[in-house]
Amino acid sequence: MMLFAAFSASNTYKLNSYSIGPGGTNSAASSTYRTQSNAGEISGTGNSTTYTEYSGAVQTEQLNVPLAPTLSNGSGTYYNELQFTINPGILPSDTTYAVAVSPNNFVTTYYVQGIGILGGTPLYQTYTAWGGSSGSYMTGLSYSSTYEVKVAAMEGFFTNTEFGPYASSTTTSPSISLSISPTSSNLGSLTAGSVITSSTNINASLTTDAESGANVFVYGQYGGLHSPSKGYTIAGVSGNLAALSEGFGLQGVSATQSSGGPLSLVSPYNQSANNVGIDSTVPYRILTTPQEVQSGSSVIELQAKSANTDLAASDYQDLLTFTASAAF
Amino acid sequence: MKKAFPLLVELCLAAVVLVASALVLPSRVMAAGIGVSLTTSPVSEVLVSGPGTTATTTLHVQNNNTLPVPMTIKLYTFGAAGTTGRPALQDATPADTFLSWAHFSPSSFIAQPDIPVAVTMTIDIPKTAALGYNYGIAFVPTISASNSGVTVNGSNLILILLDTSSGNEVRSVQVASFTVTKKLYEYLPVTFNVNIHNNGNIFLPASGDIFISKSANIAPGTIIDTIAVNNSQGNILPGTNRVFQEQWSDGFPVFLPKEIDGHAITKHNQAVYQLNWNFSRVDKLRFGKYYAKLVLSYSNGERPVPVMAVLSFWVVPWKLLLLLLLFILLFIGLIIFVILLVHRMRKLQKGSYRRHG
Repeated sequence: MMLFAAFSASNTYKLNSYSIGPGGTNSAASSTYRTQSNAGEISGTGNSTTYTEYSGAVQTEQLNVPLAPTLSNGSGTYYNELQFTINPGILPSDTTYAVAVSPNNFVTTYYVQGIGILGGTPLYQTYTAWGGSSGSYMTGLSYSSTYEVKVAAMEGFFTNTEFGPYASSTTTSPSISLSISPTSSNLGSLTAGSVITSSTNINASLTTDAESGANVFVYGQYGGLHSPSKGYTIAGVSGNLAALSEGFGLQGVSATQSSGGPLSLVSPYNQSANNVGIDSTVPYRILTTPQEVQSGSSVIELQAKSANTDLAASDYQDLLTFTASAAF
Repeated sequence: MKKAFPLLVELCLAAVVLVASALVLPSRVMAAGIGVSLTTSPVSEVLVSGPGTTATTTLHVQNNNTLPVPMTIKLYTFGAAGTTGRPALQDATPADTFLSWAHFSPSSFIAQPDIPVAVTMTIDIPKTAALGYNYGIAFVPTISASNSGVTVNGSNLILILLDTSSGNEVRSVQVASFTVTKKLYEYLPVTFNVNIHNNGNIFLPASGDIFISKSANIAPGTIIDTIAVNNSQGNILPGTNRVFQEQWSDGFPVFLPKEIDGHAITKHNQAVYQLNWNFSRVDKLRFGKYYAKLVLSYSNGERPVPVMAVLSFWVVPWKLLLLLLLFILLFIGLIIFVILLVHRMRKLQKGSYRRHG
């Protein structure tokens, strides 16, 4: 039995490994490759739609083909990434794995790199390096696309398997949510020469998973407080209402978020006291976030000032519309 | 509307205004409604379809409130505002005939609570179409505006960019600048600004990576980190610049956004950062001169075209170094003190021997 443990060698050859079978095997190596070959064995490949069979002693050195990985699209929340968890099964703990990804059933194949981006060359890492049971993420994916993912294993030389069966998952589409309440704001009576602040503030909530963030614009139907009966408009302005003779505008009181963002007010809506931003018929940006944001929330108040030359009327009005948009 | 009234008339008018000011706006302009809450998806999309063909996509909108809402669609066009991919919304003008190519099914509908509505957008592209067209599609709840006071509405916008793949397209971008916000950082993150100029005549995305290395040649074996640029495939409109800001934050210690109870903290509308000392990452202590190589690619219609740029920056944790230097000096001082002490004690011992000898 001890004879099997000794490597056969002469001046012209060295047998680096043995296998029990009708022939011997040999290994060769340089700085750029390693090969292992055998002689005298039955060779060939058999396959069907459900399996592939290789003959020969070298094949017996190979690991089990890894199971399909477990994929997650975050319960329908990931639009440019997927989470994958390798299923090591009974493979040894020092096994390394490569992860292949395809958007078209492996007509085109990419490989997950160490930081999750996709590349053209397989990267073999341990189960732990791929995140273990917590898994890891592949990024840079297209939204609303189905990806197939499969795994190959390797443990030392001459043991790497083919890629195993694949699992598939579909990325979602990025979305944006905007909530505005209430649908009216109370300015009360406008006393000429005084700045009146709304007693009912406007609450704007923004959530988006768009990577480049989002903006909220505001525009008015009339660009100010308009009286149809008098045909007069207290125009929307940007500036200090205390110093202006009349005007109407918006002022952001606060902007917060639970995570991401930050959601912030944009000039000229980010002022205090009686400094307001314009109510215009053209959309103006009032809120912005440079990246995805969850439960972004802002409070906005209205301020107005009438001049004693303004025509008295009970139908001064405007329709303010807040519009949320991501980047293009 | 402001007229030059005679003084007497003006005074009378002022008096009337003051007396009647309570009538200018009623104290309660309108019963406060429950508000508007919408979710739309996708946020933006590129459609590619040639002249004389039809482009189709599906847009999703959901009413998150508890009552049904009648919904209409308003069309905008847009350009680039600034360099962040923000749309400069413009109301449709008679010149924007391409907006009339778009049709929606349904074009108006009742959005029931919590039920997503799929709206099919179809663009009939005429044979005369060329290059690209930008559509801003706003889903707007129909709210009856009060005849007095301020009524508030909310809407969501989906941005559609149409590429007609016409023969006269010039697809080209270049790196306008590749910079870091500082040349010397004490700790990570390092913030990169990748400024891309579209010098072609059709919008397109350019994406890729920034490779970080300690070596000036940034060869594959020397790369210590890779940062994705424009992962979400944001577009650059023709004739405009877009700046993609990316961060290298894989370091120790590192400034991270401050959070309390899972809530990000802001001050003056800016995220507040705090130094994070995760000692399991002590091997990520960054020090010295680093090189960053930007490699982006875009499609010129036939093949991927790479665009590259290189920069360098320093990371010097000088406070840590000063502390280390202080410890070393203290240690050296301690050794010198001990040596002097031993020397003096020996001297004293010798003197003692002489006295006793």
